[in-house]
Amino acid sequence: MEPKANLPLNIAVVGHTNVGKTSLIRTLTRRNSFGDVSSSPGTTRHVESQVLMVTGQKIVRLLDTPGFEDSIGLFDTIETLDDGREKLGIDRLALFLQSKEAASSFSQEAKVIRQLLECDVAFYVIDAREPVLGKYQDELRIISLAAKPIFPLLNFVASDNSRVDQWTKLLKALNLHTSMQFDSVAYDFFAEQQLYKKMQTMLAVGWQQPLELLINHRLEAWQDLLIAAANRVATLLIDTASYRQAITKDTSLASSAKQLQQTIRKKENTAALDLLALFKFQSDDYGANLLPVSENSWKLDLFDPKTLKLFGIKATSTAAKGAVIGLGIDMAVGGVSLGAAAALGALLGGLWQTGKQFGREAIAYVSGERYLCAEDNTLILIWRRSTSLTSALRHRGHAAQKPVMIAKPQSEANTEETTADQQVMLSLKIARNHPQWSKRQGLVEFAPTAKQRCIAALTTIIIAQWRETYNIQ
Amino acid sequence: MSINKQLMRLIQCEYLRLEEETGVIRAGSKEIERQLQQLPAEQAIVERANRLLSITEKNSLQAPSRHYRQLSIALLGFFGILGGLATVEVFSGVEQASANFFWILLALLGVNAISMFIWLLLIGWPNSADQNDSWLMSIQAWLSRKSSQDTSALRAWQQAISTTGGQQWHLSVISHGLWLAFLSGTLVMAWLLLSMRQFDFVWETTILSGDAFVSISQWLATLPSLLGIQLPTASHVMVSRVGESPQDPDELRILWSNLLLSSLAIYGLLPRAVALLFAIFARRHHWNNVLPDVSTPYYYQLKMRLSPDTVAEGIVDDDAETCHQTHNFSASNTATIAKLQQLDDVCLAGLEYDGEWPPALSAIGLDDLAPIMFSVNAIDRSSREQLLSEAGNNSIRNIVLIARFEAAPDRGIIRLIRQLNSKPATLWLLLIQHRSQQTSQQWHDWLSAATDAQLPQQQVGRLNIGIGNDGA
Repeated sequence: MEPKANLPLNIAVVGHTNVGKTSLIRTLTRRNSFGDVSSSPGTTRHVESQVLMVTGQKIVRLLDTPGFEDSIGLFDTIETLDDGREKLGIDRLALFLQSKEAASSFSQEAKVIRQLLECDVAFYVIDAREPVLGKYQDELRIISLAAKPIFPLLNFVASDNSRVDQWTKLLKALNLHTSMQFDSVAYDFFAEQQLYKKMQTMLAVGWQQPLELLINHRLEAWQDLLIAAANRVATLLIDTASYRQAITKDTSLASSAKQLQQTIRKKENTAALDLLALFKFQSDDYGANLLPVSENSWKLDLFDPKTLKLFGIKATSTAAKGAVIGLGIDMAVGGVSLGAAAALGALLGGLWQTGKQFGREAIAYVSGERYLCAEDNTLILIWRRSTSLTSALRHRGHAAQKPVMIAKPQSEANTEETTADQQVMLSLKIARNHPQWSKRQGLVEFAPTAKQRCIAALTTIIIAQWRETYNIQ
Repeated sequence: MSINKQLMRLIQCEYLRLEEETGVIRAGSKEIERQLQQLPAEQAIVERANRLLSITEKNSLQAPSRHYRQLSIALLGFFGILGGLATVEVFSGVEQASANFFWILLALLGVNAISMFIWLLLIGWPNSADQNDSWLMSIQAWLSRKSSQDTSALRAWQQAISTTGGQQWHLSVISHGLWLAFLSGTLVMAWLLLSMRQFDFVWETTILSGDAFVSISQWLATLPSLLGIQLPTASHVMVSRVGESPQDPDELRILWSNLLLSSLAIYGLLPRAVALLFAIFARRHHWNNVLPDVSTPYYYQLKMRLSPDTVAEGIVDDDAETCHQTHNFSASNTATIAKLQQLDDVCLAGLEYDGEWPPALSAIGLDDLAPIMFSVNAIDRSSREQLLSEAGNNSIRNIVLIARFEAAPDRGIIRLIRQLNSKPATLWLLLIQHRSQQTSQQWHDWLSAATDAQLPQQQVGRLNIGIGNDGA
């Protein structure tokens, strides 16, 4: 029979001071408010716990411990406590915990050892940028006295000056063959998955199923998060594309342009903050350059086949195109397809709606009413910036301290459209002709289903583009 | 018609979403969220809205449905009357009380049949009803404007219905309902007309054969005859042709009337009623399964709050020493470095120095120094012991301990500094900085460490040999 594991799995996160134990837990739990993090040694002086859950069930408990500081001294102390009789490692540690040193000069280390004796597994966190020093070897010797499975975990591996090879060599020499690499600042979701998978292979059979649950749950949440982010970006793009700023008699072109810029920048900023919140970061984690907005005066091209089709006019043959708009109204396209044929009201309603919208546009066109809208370049820029923000957040550990910077593209003027841009812009063309999508007229939103459908379609496109072109997994 | 419960739940969620997206957080929502953590996420989202909304609010959310019902009743009545009027119109064309049976049947059921056929064709078409919600919404908006109704309730409805995507069934219910009303009006009016007035039913044709009409009438009679209704037989049909003079016109009139009314009921009303029931069941099935869309940012975050991935259990083993000393430092680093460079009788030692040992003096910025000896780089127990024993040598007057500025001065390091500082020679600590990054905190840490080791801060210096020199 398979031995039943006693949930949760207690993991003591131990290591030298300042190697990023608290940072690691922040990143694994996606909580950048956990504990205190600083570059000074001995920041964490207590033991604090965080639990990883799957639908209300506690799977893994991570115990943040103070760092080892004077491990050479500690090792000497444990050695001298030996009364000469043959002893097991755990007995020697127990003996140490009763000594007066454990209560005085080594009180922090005593806390760590207490957790080591109680835990199921120990994560030995290593700052991979550090040189391999004797004190770390002494630490590993002390930890191994507790007779618990040890998972060495190399932190900050993404750093330029990391010494993964030297550390792996040392760990192997100490018979620790399974080491894990994980960077709590430059986050990699799949490295995190790897971490739990390696634990699965190393731990008793009973732990495999709960860990599998955790792995799958995390993966699901990770994918859902990407979808939610794509949905937010799609909403931003559609809102921006459908936005129009009227140039009335009382306002000058310049003030309308300014108004447009402000509105669009505000939309972008709100979306960025929403994305940060979605990824569980704070607003001060973000420092973006001001979005350069270029505007364009909006004009309905009455004879563009796309426009015609949009308003229910089928311009099938080139001969007919544009010539007889009035006659070309195809009832089957203009939103009158189904209920319409069956219900008289729907037929009239759909026709009325289509006609009303088209009429409005046509009147605006004829009467010379003018609108400003965001230029294609601006939309592309917003799309790219949201993409790079998402990409940055996707690889940002919750231990990161520096804000995400969204760089200004080198040259905005010659933004060459990539295929990804084109895909996205294609969906935005529809939004361009639905100014009512970006505002609420009096009471209710107009045709919410059509807008929702458009957002859903764009979300799918965005996810596909992120995965294929931008390698956002 | 009562509102579908599950749809109502979604409407409540949407109502809260619209409210919360403007930044309003209701009192007690944290507590409720905590209580609901055991439930599956979608269920918890729904239950949360249920608990957060007051009875009054829930009632106000029913309002659009009441308006919708009022409108429906009005429309049903209207279409019923329309059906009746259409029937009157059809029969008014009858000349000299001899009504063309097949023409009347075609007039009363023809459009219905075509519309039904189109519905059957299009019902399998996905998303075909998308655009049509706009007129429904427009009517509702117009209605609610008339009745000065709570707009947030209407918006919640709109959002809920637009995200569920089952509009084709909803529209089907409406269209079948209206047609049913129309056909009922037709049937009632036809019955009234046939009761109050006298029509001789005939049929005629110019180019078709008479047999065709006989078989059509017999085919029409198949289903009604199952109900035991008296219907015209083939011979009855034969004698009803224009120009024939039937023997028993009274019986014939009743038989033809029976066929007309039962055809209206069975080929007009019955299919509509079946389709209506089907659409109602399909709509109910659809609405019974509607759930908040957790792929949208709001519901994703709510889901994460209700079913958290992590939970904090707080401090397990607290720190007994609550008070940590803070120091103020004011020593001039430049002065210390200048003094260091003028030293003679120097022994250079490493404190976990990272790099080749002994180092080139240029690499540590002490080109001018003329050391008499190098000691070891203390990187482990044995080298520490060696350093301590060499430092005890009375001939050494100055020990310069080289350390990495970036390293964290832990208690092990402090202990070594203290031990070296207790030796007769003067101890200097020189920190070599390789990276010119944020440094004030680290500098403070090292000075604190030196103070803890009783090493005067005037004997601690740092040299930046990295990019730029911001050491001061």
